[in-house]
Amino acid sequence: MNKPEEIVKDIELTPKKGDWMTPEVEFKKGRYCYGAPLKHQQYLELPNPREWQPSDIDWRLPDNWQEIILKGMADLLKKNRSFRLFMDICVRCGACADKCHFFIGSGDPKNMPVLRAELLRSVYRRYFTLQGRLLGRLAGARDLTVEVLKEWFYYFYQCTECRRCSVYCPYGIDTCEITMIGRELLNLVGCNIQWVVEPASNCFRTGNHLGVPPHAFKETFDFAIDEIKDLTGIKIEAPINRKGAEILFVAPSADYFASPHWFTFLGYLMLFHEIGLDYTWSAYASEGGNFGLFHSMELAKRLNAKIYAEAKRLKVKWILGGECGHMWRVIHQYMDTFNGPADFLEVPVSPITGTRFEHAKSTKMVHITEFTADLIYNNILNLDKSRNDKWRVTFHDSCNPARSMGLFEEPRFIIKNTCNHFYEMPENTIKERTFCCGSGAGLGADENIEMRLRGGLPRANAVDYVRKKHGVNMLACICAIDKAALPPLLEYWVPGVEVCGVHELVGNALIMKGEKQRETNLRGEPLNTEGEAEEKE
Amino acid sequence: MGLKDILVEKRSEILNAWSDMIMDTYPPDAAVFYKTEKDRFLNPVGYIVNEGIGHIYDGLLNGGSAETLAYAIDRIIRVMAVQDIPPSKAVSFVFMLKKVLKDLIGIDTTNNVIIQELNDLYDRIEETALVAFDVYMGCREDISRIRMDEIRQHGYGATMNPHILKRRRG
Ligand code: SF4
Ligand code: SF4
Repeated sequence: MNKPEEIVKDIELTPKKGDWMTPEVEFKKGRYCYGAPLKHQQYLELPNPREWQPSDIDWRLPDNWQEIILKGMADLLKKNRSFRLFMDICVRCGACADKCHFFIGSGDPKNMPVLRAELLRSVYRRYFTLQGRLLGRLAGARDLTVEVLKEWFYYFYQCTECRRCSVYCPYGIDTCEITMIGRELLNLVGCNIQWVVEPASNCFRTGNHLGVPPHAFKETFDFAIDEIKDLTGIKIEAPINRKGAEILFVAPSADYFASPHWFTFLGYLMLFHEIGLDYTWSAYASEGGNFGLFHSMELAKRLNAKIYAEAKRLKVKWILGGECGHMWRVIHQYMDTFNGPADFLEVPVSPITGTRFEHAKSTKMVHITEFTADLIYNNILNLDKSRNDKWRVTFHDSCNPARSMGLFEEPRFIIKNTCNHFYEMPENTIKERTFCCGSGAGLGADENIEMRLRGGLPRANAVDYVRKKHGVNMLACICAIDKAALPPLLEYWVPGVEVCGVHELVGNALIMKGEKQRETNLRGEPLNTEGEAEEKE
Repeated sequence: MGLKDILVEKRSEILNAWSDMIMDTYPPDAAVFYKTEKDRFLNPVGYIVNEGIGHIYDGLLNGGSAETLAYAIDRIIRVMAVQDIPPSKAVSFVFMLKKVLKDLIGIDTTNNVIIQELNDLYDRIEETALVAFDVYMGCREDISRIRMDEIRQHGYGATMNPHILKRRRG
């Protein structure tokens, strides 16, 4: 019998040579997301609707697909000055090259942001620049072939639009926006994924990604009210579609539908009850998230419209938003241009503390951690930190609140005021340099698990460090995709660390007027487990 | 000098060569990055591999605890199991140590004692590779289990809350 080393002798260990200009992708199971189902493509009236999978040899593109894409590119170049700029000014300095979690985790060079962008840039050069037209490959220009299109699809759906690379680019090139444009172009010929199109289509129909109709929405609230009664002895109210309330509250649908999001949802409800907030939920603006953003600007705008529409219908004064990541990118960077100006609303002022949220005077929408941090800062809340003693907490900066909003301190301020044990991950893995969960921008599909685990390695590696150093057992975050994506990621890389939202910690610590002695935390686990956290001191 | 003395003396030289050989199985751009970026948080793959082979090397030399050895193998293989690297290629990182030893230690071929020690070491390396193969299969099982759990509780990646699950099950 051959010795094992002889068997492996024949294995090709050196990587294949070949330059990046030759498009080459193989759709292997576990590393790509499935195509969008026909019925959802039709529901959203998307171009070239058909049952389709990326692994199909024939993608059944329209006959004139090249023409469609090149025209789309010309339109976008005209419309977005940034797009032309990003195409023209990259000097290939390489500063962004090793900043992408997918490159770091996979070692695939086409996951270097500069090369990801080059996939599109090479086609831009070929058709939109003189050198490219004249010199072709010599000028780094490529013809738009089916292989190139497949490669676009493969790598633009391996970018979580996290913007980490953009932090390091001396020219401010944002590869995330290049990915967004790449996806937009792919959509023109009907190439998109189930995990983006289906929730977007649900959202269009029911107002939320999960397709929850109003009666189920209401029913879920009833469950929550019962649960809070059991926990605290207090029967709270959770107003839905209440006209004339002062504030409209909008959260990602996962908060009231998924776990561990659910406990954050309980935290919001308890907090609003405790401060006697005059507010309402909306059964139609029942989704803060916006998967349209991962498809095209047009769809993002269509899905976003309901927030202002509901604010207007319900005659509120301003809007408060829950713990979501990409929702805040849309609100902070696009909502005003998409569907504003919201001049029927007022500049947000906290009815409890009187704080005027000047920074939100244009969008009229405030982030829940800004709102809660302000309450704590003004000593409004009665908090018992020891109720979170079971947890040794670290905080994951979700990409969008961190890099699109610069929201660093508010969540940390809340955690430090609701927990006794808080430990930061290393400086170069947090705040604006935070590492993505690896599942954003619609890539969180189960069929894409391997890619997600690769992309999430740098994040998990930093969690592993604080786990070993400080015994961290809870990763707090303020994003619904994180709350879904991080538990499986940690199960693979760092077992023993759980995931929670910041308002779950608030709900635990909050001493409510007239509450009974709390026996458990929001998860139903017994309190008074001091021993667990103390051991490691 | 016995074999062990040689191996202790040349530890860092051997580990560097072993590490380089592993990194060279990646495409050149990645190999350069994995070899040169020394920050453990910016280059987790490089860090995990180097930390792991150090433990494995010491374990092979000193008969370190099975636990430490298994941990080190698990850390490295866990990375490779998600990296588009087939099992045969993943476990080959262990065999590379043999090649490095052959190239670097320059032993006296007339010294039967050392040759016997070296053959024993090679046997231990092979056993380690077999363990690595089992670990690889374990990691792949972890991946499928995690994926299956997600499918069962599907709701755009989110595990459904207990009430909804109860209602769905009826
Ligand atoms: S850092 Fe900016 S200029 Fe440098 S290669 Fe990356 S995108 Fe191009
Ligand atoms: S935006 Fe994020 S995922 Fe996309 S290329 Fe940049 S670092 Fe990578």
